[in-house]
Amino acid sequence: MSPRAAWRLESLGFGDVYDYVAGKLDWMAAGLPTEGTNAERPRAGGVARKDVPICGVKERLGAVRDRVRELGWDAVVVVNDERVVLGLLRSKELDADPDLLIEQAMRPGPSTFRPFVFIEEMARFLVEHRLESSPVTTSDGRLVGLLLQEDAVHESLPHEP
Amino acid sequence: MPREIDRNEVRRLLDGGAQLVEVLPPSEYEEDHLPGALSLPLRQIERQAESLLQRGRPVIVYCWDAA
Amino acid sequence: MNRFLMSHDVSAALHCSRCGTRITECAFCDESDCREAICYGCLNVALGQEMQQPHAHGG
Repeated sequence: MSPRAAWRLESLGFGDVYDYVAGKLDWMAAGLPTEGTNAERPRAGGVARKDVPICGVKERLGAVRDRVRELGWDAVVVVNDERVVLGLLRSKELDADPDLLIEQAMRPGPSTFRPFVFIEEMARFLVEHRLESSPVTTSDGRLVGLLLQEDAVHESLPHEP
Repeated sequence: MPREIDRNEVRRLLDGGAQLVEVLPPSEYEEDHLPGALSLPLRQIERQAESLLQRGRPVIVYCWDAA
Repeated sequence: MNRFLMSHDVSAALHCSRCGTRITECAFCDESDCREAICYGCLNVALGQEMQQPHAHGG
């Protein structure tokens, strides 16, 4: 649609026309703000916990587990130096052999979700699939935070005005 | 020929005073649009472009995605 | 070949609960035995991460 619009505007004599080809989806997937009637609806990116523990692939599981549980968490997201998500460890993975490297213990390439997904949808899926949490990432794979089922469910309930 | 740009260039052009236009139907625009974007549905371009847009300023158009 | 020496996956095939496409794991939870398994395409549409194809506003 936008290419046709861009060409039409040019043909009408508008000289300097640019086409943001990747569009609104790209903008929202990058976690950038929007305006409109949906702007105030809670979304995955806003509700996800930004303080989720992270670790690297070459760390030892035992050390990571101790650190994570001391912080009161039972999940950790594996990222690289660019904060791109490489894996995930939930409680089951954290309980494996402590001498394992993270890259051996982690769930590689977990499913991730975009910041703009409405919280009601995420809550429904998290409950239906019995998932405690899901990583939220931008379109270039960078970690925004970890969305907890309990937070998603809470935010999806009607609030008192 | 319209130039294809990415979101970083969108932000740069907007800082320089470009006009931003969403060409999706009005209902889509009302739900979510980029900050500061005007609504100019594709089918209304002939009728509304002249009154809505300023000549001499760059125009950025966008829709949902590249599909 | 002695069938008792054969080793192959006899688990039931997984299908998308929305479109019926055969899948190896659920696109939402990554599990291969998910009762509500969903394929990548249907999940993206359900979560609004893409528009249903063919969508109403062709580009």
